[in-house]
Amino acid sequence: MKKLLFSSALLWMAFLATSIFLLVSSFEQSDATFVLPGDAPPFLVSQLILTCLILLSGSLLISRLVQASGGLPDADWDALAAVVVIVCTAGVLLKPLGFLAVSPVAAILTARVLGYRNWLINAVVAVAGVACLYLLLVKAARLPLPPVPGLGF
Amino acid sequence: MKHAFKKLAAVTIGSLMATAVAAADYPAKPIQVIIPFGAGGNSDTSGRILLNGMQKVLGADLVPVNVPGAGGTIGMAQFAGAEADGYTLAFSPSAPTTLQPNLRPLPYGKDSMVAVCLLTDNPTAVTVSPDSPYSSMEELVEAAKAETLIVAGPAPGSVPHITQAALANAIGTTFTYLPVGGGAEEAKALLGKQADLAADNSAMGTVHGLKTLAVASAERIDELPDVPTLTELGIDVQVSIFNGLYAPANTPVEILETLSDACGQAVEDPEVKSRLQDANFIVRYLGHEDFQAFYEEQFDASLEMLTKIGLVK
Amino acid sequence: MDMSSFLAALSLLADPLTIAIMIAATFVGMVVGALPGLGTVTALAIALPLTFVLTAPQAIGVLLAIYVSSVFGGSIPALLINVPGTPQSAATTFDGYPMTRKGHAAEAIGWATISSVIGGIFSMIVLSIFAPRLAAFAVRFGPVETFALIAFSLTTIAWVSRGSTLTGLLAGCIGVFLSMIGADAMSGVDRYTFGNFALSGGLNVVPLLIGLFALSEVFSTAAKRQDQDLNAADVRSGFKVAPFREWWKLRATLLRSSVIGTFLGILPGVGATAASLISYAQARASSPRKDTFGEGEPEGLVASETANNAVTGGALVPSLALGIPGDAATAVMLGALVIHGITPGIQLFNRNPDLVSFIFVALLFANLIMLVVGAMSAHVFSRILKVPNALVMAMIVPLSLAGSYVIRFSMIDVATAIIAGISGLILRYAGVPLAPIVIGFILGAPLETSLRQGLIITNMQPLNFFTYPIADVFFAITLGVLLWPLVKMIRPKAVAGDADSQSKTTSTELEGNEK
Repeated sequence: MKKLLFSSALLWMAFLATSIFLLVSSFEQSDATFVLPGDAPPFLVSQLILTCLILLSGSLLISRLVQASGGLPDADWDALAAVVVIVCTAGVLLKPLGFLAVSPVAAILTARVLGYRNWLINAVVAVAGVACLYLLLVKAARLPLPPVPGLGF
Repeated sequence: MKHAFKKLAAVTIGSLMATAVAAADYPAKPIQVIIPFGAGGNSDTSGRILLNGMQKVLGADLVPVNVPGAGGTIGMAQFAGAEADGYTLAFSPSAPTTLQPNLRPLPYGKDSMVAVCLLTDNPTAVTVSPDSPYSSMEELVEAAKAETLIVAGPAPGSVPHITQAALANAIGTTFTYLPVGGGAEEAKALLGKQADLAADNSAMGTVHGLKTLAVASAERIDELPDVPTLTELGIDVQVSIFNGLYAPANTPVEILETLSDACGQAVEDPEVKSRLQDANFIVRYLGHEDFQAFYEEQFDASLEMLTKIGLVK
Repeated sequence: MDMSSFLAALSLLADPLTIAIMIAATFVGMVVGALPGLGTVTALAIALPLTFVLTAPQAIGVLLAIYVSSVFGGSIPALLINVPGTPQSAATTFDGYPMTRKGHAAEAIGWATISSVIGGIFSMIVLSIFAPRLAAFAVRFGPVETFALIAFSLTTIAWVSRGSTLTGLLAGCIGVFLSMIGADAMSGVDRYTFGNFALSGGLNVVPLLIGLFALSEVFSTAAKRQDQDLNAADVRSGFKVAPFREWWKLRATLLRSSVIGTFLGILPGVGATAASLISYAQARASSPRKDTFGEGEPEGLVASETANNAVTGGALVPSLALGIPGDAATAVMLGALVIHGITPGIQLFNRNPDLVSFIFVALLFANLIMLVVGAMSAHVFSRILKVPNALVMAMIVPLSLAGSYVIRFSMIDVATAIIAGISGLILRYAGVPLAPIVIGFILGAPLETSLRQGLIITNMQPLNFFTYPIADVFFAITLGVLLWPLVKMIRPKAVAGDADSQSKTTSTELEGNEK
């Protein structure tokens, strides 16, 4: 049973639940405003799509349960979790701490998790790479990235 | 107590001086100017021409930053939340600053911004396809009363949308509105006979080779001297699309003056002027005080018009 | 384009400064395109401030060079490290990366470069000969016809999903749904934003692609236990072009992909990403070698790369002739033209015929430079393979963060990329193909918009849709494509073929490669 749970059945259930939730809330949201004469109601097409999603994820769920094989594939879950956490944290801290502060750290940590052991080369590549990227985007293309507070750039 | 008072005085004087100093060597670093529409659009084009001209005058970088989305409201919301130190400005057409705040609840409003300078002011105009059966506004009005014509325009909440609603209201009929996008898409819809008319920027006729039947301004414009105004024809509708530079509310007056003057000088630059005119903009410069008055007047006029049409309760 | 304006255009081009900056621009465009997360629009943004000080022909030359080379540049990381450099090269990973894994990186670059040039030149020829007439045709392509065409394009989803059709359709529906989040373009109503103002701008395809293809690849690499580094001895770096007869065998694919790319480029709103995915799907559907697709089949690589570059010329048709940008990149170029006092539109061909001819010639030249620069840089690029994979993957993180942020300077896009990355990994494990999500997302908005516009002009009578002849053609083809599998089911089929598709359906492989 546990094997079954940790298979794609979980995923199809998640899709099913989300689609149902969105469909229901779309009915609430569509007590809304302005509809142009002759136009289809703004939520109609999305509701159709959600209905398709419900049907599809439902069928996939049923077919998965029927098959009753499953379990998670073999993988380095620790490494994966670590990288996911690094990337998510980097995203959250991007605006508060600035691009130049967050990115090299994220790159260095990711390289380490992926197996690269030479800290010096790792750091040099990360800092140089981020610096080049910064120069290209912020200076050459004039596309501002979140600045480091206190540094102003 | 005395200590605290002294400290407070010192801090106050210090920050006043800092502001004065900051204002004195403004601009000390690049200024970001948010344009709430995508690169290549109307406001983007006129904005970039202006900023390029102002850079020469101010001696500092004015960086256009495109933040498109939701009819310009995303970019303006971002702008309104910025610090009022003169280093984040916005260059916007009139819909996000005068129409949208009146139409729906937004994180910004008239009081979130202060006007810096006006750059262009084009009236809207009624255009039809070159092989349209209507060759005058009178004919169009008659047809509009007899059947429901289709008007092409951008998404609701835009100036052309309001124009056609006001027009329908004044004539006493209704149109069917077909949202297709900007001027080029409207021209395509007219040429492809999916729509009967459009009510967008007065430059559209010349740019896309369409017939302009009337302009929605108080007087005839120099660019189209043979085209009557709607007022002449007894239809009281005057709508314009204007592009201007804005700063967040509470920006120090010295900074506003510096920017406003630089803007005025940039507009006098023959290269800037010719670039704007080649791009079919009607150049009209107003300094920060005059533009502020104009902006508030337009804001209230929009609210009035929206209420009259029934888009706002 | 007649002889005198052709010669005038050539003389404009023959200026050494113009040529020099076009070559520099090609190089810059290729490099920026090759950086995952940064795309064609970013590359053009780099050049845009420059264009103020250039003359109009120089500005146009620079922008065209960047436009063309950035699309090609995106294919380099796509086939070397399974991460598309630009959204337009997503389909290149399907067969390009397996080719590199087998040690044929040099051949892959050769296939990609020359296909790109062929696609680009084909569309340029079409542009120069047919532009005004094609523009007239595009005008007649109203909402109903557009709806029919997009409905047809969506059916190709079935062909990019190597897994079961159910998962492919699910992915497509997810994509279409995601495109509906945000302020509705037709009514202005906020949909599925749950009160979040920043979401009313909707989601953007670039962060979605960065997440689904680039970040998920990083996550996937982390999850793999074995060392990812390709054996350096297996990699023959450089630029290898397959012999002419190999190319001749693929002539049908080359032609078809060029046509698909050019044609879809002409119709605004579809773009190179969808074009390359659809071209790949089409190639797979009609190829005698369909079973080797996804394992390093040159035909797949050629289909994708030819189509995405063929869009460049096609997208210029509505841009120049109607003033309607074919995609976001041409929108930037149009803006630059307007700043220089050149107003694209119907009048352009009459008022500035010399300039129009120059655009054609510059486009041709840009494609040729790209061939040379691409070939010369190939050696440098394949050196990336010798860099430890961990470092390359690690750099994708800052690239993804920056690349998604600079689209609209919104954290929503960064969040989209990260969430898409995590979802992409989960979906890969579950055997859900990722390409249909992208196709669904790109086509979802124009599908819905054209449907509702069509309803407005037919006054809410959907049956009137069938009175439009051009639309009927596409409806018929769509019906045919949908019914074809049913027809095949009724016919007796080989048992071996059945077992084959069964094993693919229940696969939960960790293979990072898109299935």
